[in-house]
Amino acid sequence: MNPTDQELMNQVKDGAVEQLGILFERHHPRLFNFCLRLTGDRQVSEDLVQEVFYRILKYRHTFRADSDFPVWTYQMARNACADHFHQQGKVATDDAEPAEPVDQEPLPLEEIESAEALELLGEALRALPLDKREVLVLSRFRDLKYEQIAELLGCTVGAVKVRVHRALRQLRDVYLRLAAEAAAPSEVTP
Amino acid sequence: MKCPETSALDSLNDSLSPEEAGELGRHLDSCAACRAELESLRRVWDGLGRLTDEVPSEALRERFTTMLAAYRQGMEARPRPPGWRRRLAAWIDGWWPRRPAVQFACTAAALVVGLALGSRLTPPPSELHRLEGEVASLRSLVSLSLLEQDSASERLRGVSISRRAEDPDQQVLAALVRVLNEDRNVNVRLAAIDALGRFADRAAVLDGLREALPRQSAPQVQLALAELLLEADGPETRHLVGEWLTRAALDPSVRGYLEQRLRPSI
Repeated sequence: MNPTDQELMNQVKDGAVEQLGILFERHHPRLFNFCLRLTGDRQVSEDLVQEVFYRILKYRHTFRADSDFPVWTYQMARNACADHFHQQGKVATDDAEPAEPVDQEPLPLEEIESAEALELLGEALRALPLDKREVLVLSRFRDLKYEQIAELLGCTVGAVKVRVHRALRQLRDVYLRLAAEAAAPSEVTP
Repeated sequence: MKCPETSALDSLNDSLSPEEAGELGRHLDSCAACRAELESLRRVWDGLGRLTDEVPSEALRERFTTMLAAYRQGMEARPRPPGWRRRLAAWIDGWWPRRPAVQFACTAAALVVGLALGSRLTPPPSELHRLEGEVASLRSLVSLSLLEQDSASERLRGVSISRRAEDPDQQVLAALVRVLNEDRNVNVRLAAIDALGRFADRAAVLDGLREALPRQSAPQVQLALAELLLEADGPETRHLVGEWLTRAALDPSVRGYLEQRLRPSI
């Protein structure tokens, strides 16, 4: 029977650091894609994953036997990404919440299925402020329960759901703007 | 009544209870705006689900494997427990002579025997070169691993080992630059400056030192790094240091000294 993540990490904690190799094989693709969704850069994302596994080694003594390994590694990845953005001088949050529309007509939106539409959606996701992008990535892509996301973000499950909902609305608005720009006829200079 | 935002998200995840689904359904039947809003969010949510994950490169696995091996080397290179030293000292003490004259005679005899044996056992030049390469490679691994340890003393050892290398590889030099930029201990950062100074004639090292200057906040490190740059390079670096002086928040003594240093000599 395959050892669980907790069992392997406890072995690493006890000095059998080579067991981290198994954890690497299991988890590096998801950590890579988490970082990639946040940074949009493959090379940076690989660097961040390397940093995460180094921090797992360095801080292995802080792993509790009852810790949730995926949540623990996502916390490391969040911190590594935040350090990266801090070094880049990028703003992590968008303090200005978009104003609630008053009696605004619902915006028309087709099914997002074509390659072009999906590429625009990816671009719209990268255009979101980091905190909104992060909560969407955690909830939609990473198979985490809302309870786990709440533990990561240090808030209640209800607060997580509200954040996801607002991030989704902003993503929709950005997507529609990008789609409109892509569909606008290009100006021809006489 | 449940928060509308929470209900909307639970609806997208199909996680509403039957009662909640019924309540939401009744509302949507009577509100076209909410129906359209939820439908547009559902399409974005579904679109996100269609974005595929990417596969990391094989290089990432290689980097991880190298890092893990170096870390294990560093763990094994740590000093043995004191009990082992005490046992060894007690064993040597059991047979080593007490009188200084006899101690000197034994040492001289061991030196003569060693030289005689060594002259017969010297490996051929090609083998010697290979061994030297392996030693250098091992030294790099140990240095890299020590630079990652929690203890500042061990990180200082790592810097010291890399400083003694005749021709450190790019990975070691990059690690020293990283230590200069990120280590939390001022003494380790100062040691890194000293080590990097030996190789400041290399373009990559000089670039790393230049980029590190605006990132430093400790006065001693600022001064040491600026001094190194001014000694290592010509007009371009003097201009860079001068530019940095105009923008950086510096300790007055550091600023005063560097301004004096930059003044053109008469």
